[in-house]
Amino acid sequence: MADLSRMSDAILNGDAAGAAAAAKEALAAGADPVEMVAQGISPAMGEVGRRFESGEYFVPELLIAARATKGIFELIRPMMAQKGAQPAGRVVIGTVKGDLHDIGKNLVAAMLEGGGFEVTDLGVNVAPEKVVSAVKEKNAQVVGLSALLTTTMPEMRNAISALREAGLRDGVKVMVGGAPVTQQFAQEVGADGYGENAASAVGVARKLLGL
Amino acid sequence: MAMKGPEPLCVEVFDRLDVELEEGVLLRFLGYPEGAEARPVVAEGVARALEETRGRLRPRGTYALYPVLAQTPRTLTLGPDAEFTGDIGGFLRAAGRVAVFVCTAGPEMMAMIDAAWDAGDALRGMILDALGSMGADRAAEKLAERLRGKLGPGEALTPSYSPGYCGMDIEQQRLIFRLVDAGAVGVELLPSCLMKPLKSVSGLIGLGPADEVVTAGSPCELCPLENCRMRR
Repeated sequence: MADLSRMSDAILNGDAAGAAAAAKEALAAGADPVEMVAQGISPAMGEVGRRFESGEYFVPELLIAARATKGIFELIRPMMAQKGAQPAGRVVIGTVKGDLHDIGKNLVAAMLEGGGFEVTDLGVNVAPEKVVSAVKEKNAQVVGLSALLTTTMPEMRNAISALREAGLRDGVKVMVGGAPVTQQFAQEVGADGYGENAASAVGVARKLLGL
Repeated sequence: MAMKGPEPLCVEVFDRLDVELEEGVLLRFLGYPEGAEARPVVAEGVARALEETRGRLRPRGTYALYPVLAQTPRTLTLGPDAEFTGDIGGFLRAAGRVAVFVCTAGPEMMAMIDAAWDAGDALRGMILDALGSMGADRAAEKLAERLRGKLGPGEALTPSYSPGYCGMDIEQQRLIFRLVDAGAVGVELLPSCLMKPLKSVSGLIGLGPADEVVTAGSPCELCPLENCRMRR
């Protein structure tokens, strides 16, 4: 097994260039991409999450770690695909209809990409029918819906209803988040998961997919 | 642009509000607690964004000042068809006049933010987003400073209160945009009651007897979202 410590350190430090270089070295030394994820990336991102929870890291540190990880995935994903390995999951994400706030959604998308998910970002002001067509087109396993306004939160329910009416609801997990969104609200609108912040999104998505 | 509503006592438009953009405050906007240091790569990104933004940011704002015609703990009436409802009536108690204002960090800021996200640079996008929020907030603070010139002897300003929180439903944006010509500073109200440019702030500031109006504290103290990233 190649030494993955340099790659892990680079992820922890948010050093994207260093992480990519270390990953290339590991590959050249014969590392298996799947093992690189299991033995290097996942533990490093777990440590990033732990440091966030303990108040040692803040959201920007999460982001740069995710950015470093995303760079590695871009490198190894084609090799993983050749071996038949799939991404952690396919996610369609967007800010609900009527809402233009994208920072929370963008952070979650970046974290999910760093967590090895294939993310399709639908942007802001996303109508329920657009969610439905994206789920079909991308064969998504998870839908992430974001809202910052109490007035646009009901659109989460509309999107979930649209998935149900399209016959897609049983095949996809829906996670919701945003400043005014709560666990209780998530349950009320029929979502499967709720993320309190961007840091928790990867864990929620993995849990929903039984990973 | 013609507005339908009561006649204001006065209107001012500030085409450029010179605001301070301090690194320490920006770090608070990015979620760092007081005294915490960002890692070098983040600190470099913050310094670079501040440098670029200082030359390009042009916050602006406008207000219209109205007499308060009637007030209860749950209503604030500025005209026959201009009644705000909710806790705002109590928050602005004893205010004899109310400034209805709109401020914005400006479209230049939004262009920078969008370009960063479009380029896939999440860190830069986040930093610029925080800078935009800070720019809009600082513009509102500057506008409040200018408003002090309208105070009579023994009067003080209240904090600013905005629709969407602070005891006002976001739908009351429509009334705010009827009472002040936000178009004069390039701000548009969307059907969702959001503003365009997104990094804009609207709201009410009361003017009244210093010993009777609420003058201290943050509107965030009234908000139940204790974990909100934007809490001040």
